[in-house]
Amino acid sequence: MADSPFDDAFAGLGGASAQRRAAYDRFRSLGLPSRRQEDWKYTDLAGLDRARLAPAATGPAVSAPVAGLDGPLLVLTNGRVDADASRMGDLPAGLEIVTDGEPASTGADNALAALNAAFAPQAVHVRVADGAAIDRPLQLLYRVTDADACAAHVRVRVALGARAALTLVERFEGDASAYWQNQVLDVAGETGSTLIHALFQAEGPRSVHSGLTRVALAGGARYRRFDLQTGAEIARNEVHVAATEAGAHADIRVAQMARAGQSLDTRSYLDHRVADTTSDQGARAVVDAQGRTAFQGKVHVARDAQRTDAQQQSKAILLDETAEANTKPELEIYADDVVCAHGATVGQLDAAALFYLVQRGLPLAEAKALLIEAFVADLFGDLDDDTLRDAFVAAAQVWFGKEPS
Amino acid sequence: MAATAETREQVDEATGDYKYGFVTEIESDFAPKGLNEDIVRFISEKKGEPQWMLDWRLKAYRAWLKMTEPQWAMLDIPPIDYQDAYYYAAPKQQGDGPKSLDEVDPELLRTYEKLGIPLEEQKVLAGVEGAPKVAVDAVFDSVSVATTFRAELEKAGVIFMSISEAIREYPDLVRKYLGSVVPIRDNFFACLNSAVFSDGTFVYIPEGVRCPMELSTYFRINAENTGQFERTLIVADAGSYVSYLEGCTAPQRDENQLHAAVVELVALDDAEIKYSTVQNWYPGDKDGKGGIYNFVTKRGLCKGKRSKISWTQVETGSAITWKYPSCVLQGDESVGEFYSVAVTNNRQQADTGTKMIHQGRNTRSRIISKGISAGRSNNTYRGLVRVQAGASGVRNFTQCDSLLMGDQCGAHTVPYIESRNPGAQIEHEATTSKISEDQMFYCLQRGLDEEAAVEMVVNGFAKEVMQQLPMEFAVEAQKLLGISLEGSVG
Repeated sequence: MADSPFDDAFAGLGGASAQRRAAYDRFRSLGLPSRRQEDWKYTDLAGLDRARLAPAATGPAVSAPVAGLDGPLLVLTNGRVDADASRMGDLPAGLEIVTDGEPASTGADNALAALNAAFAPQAVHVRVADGAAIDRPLQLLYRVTDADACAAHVRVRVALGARAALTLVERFEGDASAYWQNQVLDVAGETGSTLIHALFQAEGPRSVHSGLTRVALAGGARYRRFDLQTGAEIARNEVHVAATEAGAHADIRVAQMARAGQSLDTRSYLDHRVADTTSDQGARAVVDAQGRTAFQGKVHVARDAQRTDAQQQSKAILLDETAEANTKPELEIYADDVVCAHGATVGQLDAAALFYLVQRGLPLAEAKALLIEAFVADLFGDLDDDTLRDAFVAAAQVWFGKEPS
Repeated sequence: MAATAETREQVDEATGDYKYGFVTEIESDFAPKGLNEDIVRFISEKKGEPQWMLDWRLKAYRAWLKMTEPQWAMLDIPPIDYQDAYYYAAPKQQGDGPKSLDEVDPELLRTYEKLGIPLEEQKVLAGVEGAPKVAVDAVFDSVSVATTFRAELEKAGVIFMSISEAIREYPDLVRKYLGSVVPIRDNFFACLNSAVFSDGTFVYIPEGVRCPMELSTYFRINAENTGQFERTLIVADAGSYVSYLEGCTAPQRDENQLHAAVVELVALDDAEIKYSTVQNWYPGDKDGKGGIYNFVTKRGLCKGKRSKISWTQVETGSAITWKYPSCVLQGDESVGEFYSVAVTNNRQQADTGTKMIHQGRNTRSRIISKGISAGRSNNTYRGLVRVQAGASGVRNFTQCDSLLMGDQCGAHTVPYIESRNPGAQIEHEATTSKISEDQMFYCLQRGLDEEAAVEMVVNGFAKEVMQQLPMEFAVEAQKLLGISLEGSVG
């Protein structure tokens, strides 16, 4: 096998464990994804192996948790837990957070996950005890600073016991250095559990962000994802949900806002493996000059997964002649008694609505901002937590330069 | 509603034995098996082609050697040995070729008769006052054996002949447009076709002419182990209109047969081409043995302003279908349409759909796709709607619905939507469902038997597409849907 630029970085780890070695070998056999692979049509990682591969050193902590949210806060700076910046005292009963130094698993058939398993300095384990409903959100803040040409690999595992409930808020951010942050999040939801997952991707403007979320849901378990992507130069997110027992349900809500030079790509894979499971996906994209988004939403219904109900809606708005939006709502169905539908639209801001607002005295820029805000906010409407919902709207406002109200 | 054993048997009867599966005994003038430059030269020589055509073929052949088969389709294709097939087979004939129907091998005519193809019947048709006239350029194992109505078409200035003849008689026209829509290197199968195409059809409609009749070609694969490589080129000059019908059946075979056709359409300013297909090739038996491999590249170029190309297809046959009739909407305000019904049963696999490439301003496209899966088959809609940066005012509407009959089949949808213009308005809808118990109950309760009820629901499901078919085809297509699906309801 030809040399990989990653080899030196891996050798630099020194005395890597057998597990890390296996994961690295896995990565080497898979290679970095390329646009020639159908799933990677819209994201180009070609530059990744030339720059951004040395493990990031520990940098100074800067903490900016989601405004107005209290509850425990765990900060990872440049891929490592930053105890000083974190707020981990007084954890609610039933919530346990453990950090260890040895990420498990090789990453299966995912090259970036394999690389993550080889390089991630730590793994964070979040456990919620059976029957525990955690009433305050847990915040995870992933922050990269001073990390030119470096990579931060973060690995998190969330295990929800039977009937457990948790709200997990993740925020990715960084400075203007040209870094790569690569996260793998594994979620296991036991019978009747609920995970509300709010994700803010606000990485630095020259960064590459990649995220893989793998969710396995037992009977009646629910996974609800609210995801706003505004940062990074190149972002690629994958969400895999396996509904493994009857009654499992997943909601995926993802809004991607891209402007000059940004390429944001989200791929979902909703795997309905057994009968009587449901999913609902909603995607929004707002694309300004020279930005690009892609939403590739896939629903897979296994043989015998009867009475699956899988819905998918994707909407994109282009704000400029040089913007690009791509959508690929995919269905792969092997059972006949199912209700699966998808709808997709691509267009521009509604001219009539714009006219209405301008005619009532609103400056054009403000009118546009208002419509965009409504378009994005609509996606987070069924998020019960007011503070979180406001935080999403505020983050969207920041994107188009408005002071958060 | 569970299908009764009796119904299952009826399905087997209806679909297990291919109605049109018989072999016509005609001597063929084969080229030796296999593919190399000599075979390409042999084909070109057999057809008395000019040097430029041979050069074109050789260029394609050399390019093809460096290409690999596309792997992205949701198809399970057994390895194909391209050296284990004949690339040229023509019915034996005396002299220079038949001057009239009387000179056509009666065996051939009988074959068409059995298929219900109106080569003989057309005279009757022509005699009937007010009856629509259908001209047939019959392709029997690669070579045109009869072209009819040419006189009347000539009067209108329409050129309708086999592409071999056209290469000899209208070399400038053919040379100008051949490969202009589907370039030699477009894809593996189109490239192969460019090297070895045996025959096909050429149509030219002159400026301002509305073709006086619907043009029709029947394809039929006959000789064992003969790949079919049809090449069709239709050019509609400014302000003209033509409706073209393509339909085909094939005799039953155990050996898989390769088919890689290329169809190119060019519509100039204000011209309109309507291209309708009923594809009913041998799909293989109920265990997936035999059947045609159908790898087709069909593409239309709306070159002129306000031009229009409309594809309608009813796909019920073939073991493997790989086919994406597409429109490149280059002229401002041009229109592309795609209407498709694809039925798969038993072990059939279909990966079919369309591409609408919007390049011109105010271009519009409409895609209606209905996929019906039964048995152990897999049916995939794969489509692309792309709006290029300069194409403002674009409109697209796509609807692709899947109907599943039975719990052992698969229905898949893979649409790509790529927009680079804020003025474009693109809408896409897709649904997947089965025939509901309510629908069946309603029909049965009104005295219809299960078969009739299914046929009715399916025809209703496919109605939007069937309505687009010309009269001549609509009846055959409805019959085909019925035959393909009788009793498949689960």
